[in-house]
Amino acid sequence: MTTRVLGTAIFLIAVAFLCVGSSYRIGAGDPVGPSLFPMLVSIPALALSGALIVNPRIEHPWQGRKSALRLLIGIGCLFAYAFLLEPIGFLLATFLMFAGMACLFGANQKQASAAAVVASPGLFILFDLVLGLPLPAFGEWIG
Amino acid sequence: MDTISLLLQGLSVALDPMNFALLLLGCFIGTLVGSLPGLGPVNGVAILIPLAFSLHLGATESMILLCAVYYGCMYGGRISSILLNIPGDEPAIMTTLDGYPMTLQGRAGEALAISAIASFVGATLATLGLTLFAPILAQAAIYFAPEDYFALFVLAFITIGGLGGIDPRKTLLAACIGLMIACVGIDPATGVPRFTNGWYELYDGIDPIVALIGLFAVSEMFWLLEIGIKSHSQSMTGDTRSKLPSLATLRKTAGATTRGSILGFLAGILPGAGASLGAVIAYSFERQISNRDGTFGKGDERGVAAPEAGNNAASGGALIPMLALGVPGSGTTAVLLAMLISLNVQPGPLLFNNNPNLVWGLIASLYLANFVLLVMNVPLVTIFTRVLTVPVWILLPMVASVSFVGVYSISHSPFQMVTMIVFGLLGFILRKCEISLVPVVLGLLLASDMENNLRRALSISGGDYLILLQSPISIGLYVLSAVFLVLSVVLWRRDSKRLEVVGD
Repeated sequence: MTTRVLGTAIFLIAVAFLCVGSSYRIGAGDPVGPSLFPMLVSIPALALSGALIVNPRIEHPWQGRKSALRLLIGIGCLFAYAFLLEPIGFLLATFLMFAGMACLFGANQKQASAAAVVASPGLFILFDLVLGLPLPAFGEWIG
Repeated sequence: MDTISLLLQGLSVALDPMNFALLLLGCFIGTLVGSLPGLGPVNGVAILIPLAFSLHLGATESMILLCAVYYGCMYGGRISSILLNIPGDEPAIMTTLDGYPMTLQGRAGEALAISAIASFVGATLATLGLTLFAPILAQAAIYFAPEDYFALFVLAFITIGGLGGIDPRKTLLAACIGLMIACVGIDPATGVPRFTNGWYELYDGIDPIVALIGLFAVSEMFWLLEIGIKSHSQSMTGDTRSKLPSLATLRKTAGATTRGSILGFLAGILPGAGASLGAVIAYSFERQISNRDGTFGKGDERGVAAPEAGNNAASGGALIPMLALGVPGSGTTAVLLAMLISLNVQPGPLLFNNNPNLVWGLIASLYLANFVLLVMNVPLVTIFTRVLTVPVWILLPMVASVSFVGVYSISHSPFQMVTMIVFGLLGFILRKCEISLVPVVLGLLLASDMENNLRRALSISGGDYLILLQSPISIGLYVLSAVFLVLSVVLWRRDSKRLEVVGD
């Protein structure tokens, strides 16, 4: 089922790719232009994704609802980190993300917060102070 | 003679204090990353690349560091295979078969030492092969015209799936996905923005490094999250200190080690095969010829030596096509290629002429890395066995943090971090559908070169497509591609028929 859905998505993307890709105009002195290569790639992509829709063969089964929920929370956690890093700063964002991910990977609340309390400033010291990669320590709200 | 003087010159590069320190660090990190279950060479090298950039390491320094990590991972993977029956990374799967039974018999220390020595022999022989064959291949590649390069890329994509009975439709589709993603951004030849939908963030195209970290490190995290990995609670049994094996044992495993090295090396050179296949071939072959008393799978030393020699030799072999042709043979070498391209170093025949310090410095440091790794993995192996007890709920959030810091430090942009997560999701879904990620990466990396060569060839011929089929080199490469394609389809059909029979 997953393969069919994915195959359909790729098929549609390849159709869009073909349509958009063929619209680029050829410049002077360039006999092929920017269109040829995308078209050359999207045609086999169409054929192959089509073949997968018809006959998907083996795929990995999903692990059930509980796993899917855990996965969704994990994905949400990472997206939140990407958007919150600059506004709330590395120390707090990393603490929250670290603790959240630790819980998802089976730590209890105590273990997760203990690990995150150590890891967040530890990583800051390692990357910002020792390795010299500038990170926003406190973010924008503290100025 | 020439090679020896170049190698000595390379040795002076490798022994530069800074480079040697990076080498030691790389070997240590590599063994560590390799020994931790769930982290292999691909993820390890991928998340370290941005750090190498941000620290402003040059191309030579970065390559020395990351290749040491790469070699180190191959050594480290065996530790948890032997002690816990959990492969530290994919190429170490075969080592569990005889390694763990040896642990159960109280011979863990011996197994660790034998496998370290086999790793050393395999990796050293492969590095020797790299020294001898890479320059020859690079010399030959000088005669390649743009249309021949285009054919070479076609061959690379067709062979990347290997002959392991994997669905060839899926590997080819994966390659197409990578090529399509790489088309996004401004076309360098004409300045036309392609597939950007007017988003300025996409005008520079997708940064392959960000995509790689997403595809390998983040998707691995999602994968482990979904299957609900638990921290392994088994305690390690018995004494895990390395014991030097007796001379008789070494003599017994010498044949297995040598055969494993040669087979692994050949598997490594072939595009797409990589270290895992090297280990599989080495183990199966050794079992075929040596398993007279049925001792394999019950703790036979040769069953530990052969796959370890195989995967280490394959990792050295895989560097040959990457350095000499710019066409990587495995996931990890593809990641290394991404780093070189990002540092504006174009691998291929010219690299050997223009940048001998990089090539020979790297080769010399690979020899040194092997000695360092032998020391780290025989007398000092207990350092790494302790690390195995780190629970996954510390390890994986750590991987997430390092991935984010890496991407943030090269881009300072939340957009790139989101791109990384999106690629993580893409990688996860592709893996769910049994679609390999290596061709995606290869497509992503090679697309611009492939397109440039195609367009260069066609502008030489004034738009005549026949030029693609005119040189003997390109015809040879297309014939080879066709043979390989037919063979992979035939093998896949045979294997899937066999699976259906078993399924009934």
